[in-house]
Amino acid sequence: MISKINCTSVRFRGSSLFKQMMLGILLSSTALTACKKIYNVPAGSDYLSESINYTVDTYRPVLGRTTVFGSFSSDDSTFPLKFEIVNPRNNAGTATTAFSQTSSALVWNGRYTGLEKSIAEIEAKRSVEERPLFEVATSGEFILWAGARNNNFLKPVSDSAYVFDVRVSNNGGSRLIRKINIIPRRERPYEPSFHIDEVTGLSKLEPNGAVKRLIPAILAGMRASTLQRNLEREIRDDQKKTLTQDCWVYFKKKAGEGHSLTFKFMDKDSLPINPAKFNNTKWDQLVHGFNMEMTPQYVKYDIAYPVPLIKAPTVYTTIDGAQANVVFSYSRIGFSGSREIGTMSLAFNIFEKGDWEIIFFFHNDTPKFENE
Amino acid sequence: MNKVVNTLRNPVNMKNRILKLLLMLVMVHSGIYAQNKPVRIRGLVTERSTGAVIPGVSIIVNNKAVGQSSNQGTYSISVPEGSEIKFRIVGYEEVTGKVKPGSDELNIQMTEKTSALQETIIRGYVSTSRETDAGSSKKLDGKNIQDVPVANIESLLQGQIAGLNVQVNTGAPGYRGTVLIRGVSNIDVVGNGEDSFLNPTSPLYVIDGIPIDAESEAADNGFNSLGPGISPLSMIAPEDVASIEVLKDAQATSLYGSRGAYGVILITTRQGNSSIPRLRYSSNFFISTPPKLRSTLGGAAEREFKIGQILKYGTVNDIINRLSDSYYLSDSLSTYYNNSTDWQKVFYGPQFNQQHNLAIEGGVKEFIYKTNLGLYNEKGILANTGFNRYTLNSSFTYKPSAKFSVYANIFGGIGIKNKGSGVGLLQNGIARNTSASSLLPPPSLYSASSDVIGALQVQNDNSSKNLRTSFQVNYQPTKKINLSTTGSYDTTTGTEDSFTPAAANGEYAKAYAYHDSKYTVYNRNNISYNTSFKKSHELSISAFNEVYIKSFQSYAAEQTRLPVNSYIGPIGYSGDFVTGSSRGGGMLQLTKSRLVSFAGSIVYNYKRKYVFNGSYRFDASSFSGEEDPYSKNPSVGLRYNFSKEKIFDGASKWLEYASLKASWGKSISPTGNVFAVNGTYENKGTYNGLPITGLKYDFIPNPALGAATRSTYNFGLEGGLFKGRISFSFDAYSSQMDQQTRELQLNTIIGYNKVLSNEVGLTNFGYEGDITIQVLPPKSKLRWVTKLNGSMNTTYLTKLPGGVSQIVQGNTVFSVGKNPFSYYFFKNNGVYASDTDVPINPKTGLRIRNGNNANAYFQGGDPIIQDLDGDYVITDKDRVAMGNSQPTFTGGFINSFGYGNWSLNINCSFTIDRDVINAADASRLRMAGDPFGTQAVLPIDNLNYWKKPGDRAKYPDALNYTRAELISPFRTNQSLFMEDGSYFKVNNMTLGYVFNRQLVQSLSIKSLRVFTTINNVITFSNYSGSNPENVSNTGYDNSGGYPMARTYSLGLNVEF
Repeated sequence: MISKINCTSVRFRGSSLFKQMMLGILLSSTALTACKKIYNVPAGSDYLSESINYTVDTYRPVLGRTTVFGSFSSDDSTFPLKFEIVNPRNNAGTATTAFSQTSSALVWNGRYTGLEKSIAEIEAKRSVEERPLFEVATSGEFILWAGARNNNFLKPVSDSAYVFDVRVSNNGGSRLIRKINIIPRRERPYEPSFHIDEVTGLSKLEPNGAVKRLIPAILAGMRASTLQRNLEREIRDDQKKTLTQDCWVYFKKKAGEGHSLTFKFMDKDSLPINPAKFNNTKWDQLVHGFNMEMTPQYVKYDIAYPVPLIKAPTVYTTIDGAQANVVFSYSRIGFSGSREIGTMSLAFNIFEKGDWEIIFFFHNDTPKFENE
Repeated sequence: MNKVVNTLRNPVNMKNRILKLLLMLVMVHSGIYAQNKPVRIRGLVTERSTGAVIPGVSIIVNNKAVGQSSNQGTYSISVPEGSEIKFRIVGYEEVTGKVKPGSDELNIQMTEKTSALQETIIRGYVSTSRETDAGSSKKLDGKNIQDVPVANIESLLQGQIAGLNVQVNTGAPGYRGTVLIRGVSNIDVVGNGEDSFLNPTSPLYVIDGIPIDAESEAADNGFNSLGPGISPLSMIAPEDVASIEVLKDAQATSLYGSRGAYGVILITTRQGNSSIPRLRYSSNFFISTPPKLRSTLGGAAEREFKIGQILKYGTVNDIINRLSDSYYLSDSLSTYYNNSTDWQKVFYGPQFNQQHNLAIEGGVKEFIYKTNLGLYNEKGILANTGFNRYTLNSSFTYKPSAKFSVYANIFGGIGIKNKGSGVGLLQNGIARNTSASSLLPPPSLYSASSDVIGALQVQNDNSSKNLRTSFQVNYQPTKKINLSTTGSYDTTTGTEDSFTPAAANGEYAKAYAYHDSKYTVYNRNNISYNTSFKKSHELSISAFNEVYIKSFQSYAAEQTRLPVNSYIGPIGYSGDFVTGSSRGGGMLQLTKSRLVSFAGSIVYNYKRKYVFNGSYRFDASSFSGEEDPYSKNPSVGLRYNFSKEKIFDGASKWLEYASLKASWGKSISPTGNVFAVNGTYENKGTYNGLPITGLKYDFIPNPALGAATRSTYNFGLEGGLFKGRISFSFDAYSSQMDQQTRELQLNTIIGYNKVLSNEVGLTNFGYEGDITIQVLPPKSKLRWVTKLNGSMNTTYLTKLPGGVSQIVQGNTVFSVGKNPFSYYFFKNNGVYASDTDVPINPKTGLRIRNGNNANAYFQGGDPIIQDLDGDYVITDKDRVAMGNSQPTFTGGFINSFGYGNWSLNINCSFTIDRDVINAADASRLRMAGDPFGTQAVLPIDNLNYWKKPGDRAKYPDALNYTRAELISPFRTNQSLFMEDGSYFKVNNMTLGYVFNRQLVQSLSIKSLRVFTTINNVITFSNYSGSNPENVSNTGYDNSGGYPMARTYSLGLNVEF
């Protein structure tokens, strides 16, 4: 009897030892699961490269336009990254608060197609948000909003730049990219503006001392009224070393809070040319404007600013969509009964809202619209 | 005592006992009476599982050998009536039988010894018992890998051993798959994307005590194998394999030095073991069939599909000009273009193949011999590819006295491989052709494309000739001391001759000739001392040294413009006046190296219960830098056979044996080679009229290159339950690899291109276990053995060169703290249902666009690729690390059944948790969006792709071909094509039948077995592509890969 009990208890103890060993094995396995800690396997964190940087460290954006710029080189760092402008200062080293000023910025929340039927429809696709004048996006791009103007963001020539650092961080750490310079350029509310000095904002001078004229309109097949010649964008006489143009273009903003765009044409006597004389013009595709009003003096549209609204190709823009493109055209019977088409085109931008006029001034000779 | 107590308690038992006692008395009495009367007893000895006869079985009566079973397994002895007869032979359980009174026949069935504890294993070239070894290894009987005709025995190891991950990822005959023991150990990825390849870290193979390189020297990487590239493993006839042992942990592998750091696989070929000569013949006739080929739109269907696409999405120019210029689309009436060619049929087809093996073996104790002749012939399912093997393996053991033995072996093999027009694993030419438009005319004298001629008519002969001789002399001056010396000479020559006819090579025939030769001289001298003292202590000390002398050189010559097709030459000379037509010839590679090693080991045990193992080895290699040429490999192991403790004495009913073991080992090996440390010098022109030599500005010399280290821990439990009915083992391991090498690209201002650094660190850990169960009791008529094994492996990258935490290489990212290499892909979040779903950049008002083109704005039907950096432009910055191309779980499930003369084997394996890239689907969708291309259209109806605005689809718009160049919707490097590549595969099934002895005896046949096998039976997987296993080792399902054939074979084993 006793012996039997012993036997079973031994057996029991044996198997309990076995169980304990199994437990031991399980425990040691669990210990191995903790190998990540034992072997100091670094936690799989996001990557932030040592060599992140901006490939350009000095930017010269023009005020009064929403500009997105800055080429951030991530060197395969893991996005999303957090960007932060740190220590904005003047060139002299004193702190500045210019960046933290805010303005109402127009932001898009719908897709502009160029097919909108009214200004209201366009405005429904964008809204106004209060944004700092200058900020950095999650992509590392800088944004200078159109609200940054001469009056609130321009630097004096003596201390021309803002200097700041950018702190970039993610789970993998944080790095400071030092000393990025931003030199704001004076507002130039329209393009082309190559006749304006970008630093001073004054008109440039020709080598002979004359005020430089804006002469961007491209003329093709337009005959002059007085001489038997074509009107030219530029007439260069290398022997006499003279340069003349047939058409000057003026951008003029009228006072007021309107949003219209008017085209005017002037002959060599500074008298208006009836726009209707450009009889071949597709007036409905001239600009993405509405409520066209045509008088013998001008043609006028209600329009949403800036022009063009976004940098996307539409029927109203150049092929790349960067600029609005207006084409005025007329046809007439030339000599020997041939039909001649004259066109004048202008690629331009207007960044500031207002009642704008674009005037084409044929100061040398008036185009000939009549048949021969 | 126990019994008596039981008896006393139970009167019924007591009655029985008295009855038994009486019966015994009667029997003893009759026994005494019978002993005076000798009787003649006849019978047959067979193997229980297969029914095969066993010759040479010793028959023992009263501790006296009275005879042996004959060649036919029969015996006839004269014994006193009623005596107990013992049958004994090595490798089988002893059987005791007794003749029933009145009968003169006693048939014996013997079962193989299965107790894993007493199993003989090999450690550092010395046989030992598993009982006294702390290492982790698994032994596999050669029978498990026979009956299936394959070119490379490695593929048969799939699913057989826990922790051994075999992926048969190419169907190309004679090529190796991927073999990894316990996970990846390097991050040497070459190539990019679909064509990337992880340089293999193959285990060391040791065939009959001679280490060999599994990689053919010339196979520099898997895609572009130079020369024949035939692995020595493809030269082994599976029928000749007696056993395979896989060594996994540091304790088991440390004696093999740094070459064994990735595991060691020992292959032992059969030795003669019967005094009666035996002749075994086996043959296999098999048909390999291509997998289901993809369906293709043919003829008019293709034309209508493409034209419809152009009319719907094309520009005016596309519709008016390009369409009418694409004659094979527009000119449907031309007989030349009015076809419906099945291109796949041109290249793929079933093939008939065969394999034969003849073995003669026999000998007495003093002299044992064996000769094995093998022939293997396989034509690839792709035209113009195949593999043939002819082998002879012969060995002799001469044992004039118990103290002295000589073993000699000679192995000769010829392997012939046809690569067709492909390079190694990839058959891009054929892949291009099989996807050619069905409208193109089929291959004929006038119309075939150069690719077609290339694939079908290129003469490509690759052969590898291998001769390996080895010997071993063993001398035992006293019982305790053993001296042995082993030597081998192994030489391989490889040649490749390739001829491309003029029609396939721009009107000029091309010839290429390659030759390589390699030899290895190997010598090992071993001394061991075994002793036991005070009865319970056993000690064995062994030491050996090893010397390798290796040499390899290869040459090639090429002539790209031969005068005519029929005149192949002159090679190396420009016969044509066009310069550069001869690519010349010369030496490609030349290496000579020497390796000297010393190693020692100590094994001690107390009562075979507590075991201690220790070993140390160091190697000096002529290839290492001069400062620290030694690699060092220490290891320590402990084993505790705890079932031998007294407390388990009562547990013998259910516990056969159980042991715990633990081991640690480290391998410290120099990584650099002379070039990395000292730089390479080259001719730099002349200075002052004198020739000068200077450093080559490629690799900057790095004398600071240190040794790579790898330290491994292993904990294990193994045991047997219920008298061998269940045996199991479980291992947990971890290993830490530091200072692994990696090439680093240098900044351009440095002047050198690259530096070899060794700062990569990896750590991996995992568990593996296996269990073997004899499901039915031994007496059962139906035999059923089931084996299940599995392993889990996790690997982390712990360090990268330069202390960085991430390196991007093409579409692969190495990231510290994550798995060693992940895909670096775009994240796909679906398909834009309509244009209005495309996000708008609030700052600019522009839609999200693709980086390569300023006008490539996304629209409805395009993939939603996540813009991680938020700049509304999809660029390389938006890629993110994802997925793991290496499997976490692998294992196998093997069942064998037997009933009477029948046997059935089902062999399965599985791989779980692996991400593969369905590049094949990506290319199928791309092909559907290329109406002007001359590619076929594969139906994509089964794929959920975007068709009209508002569709919630998985795949982007496949038909609008104008999107392809703008936003490449079917780029392979996006998460859309990353899929789970887990699979469960029935590797092979064998059904065998052994004929009754009586039936075949009249033909003087000892045994006859017929069997039929299906290999690569079926793969179960959720993967949407064709086969999740048939992918590159970096996880890409490349449509240019070689598909896997299914083979049906009919085989025969005859023994005379």
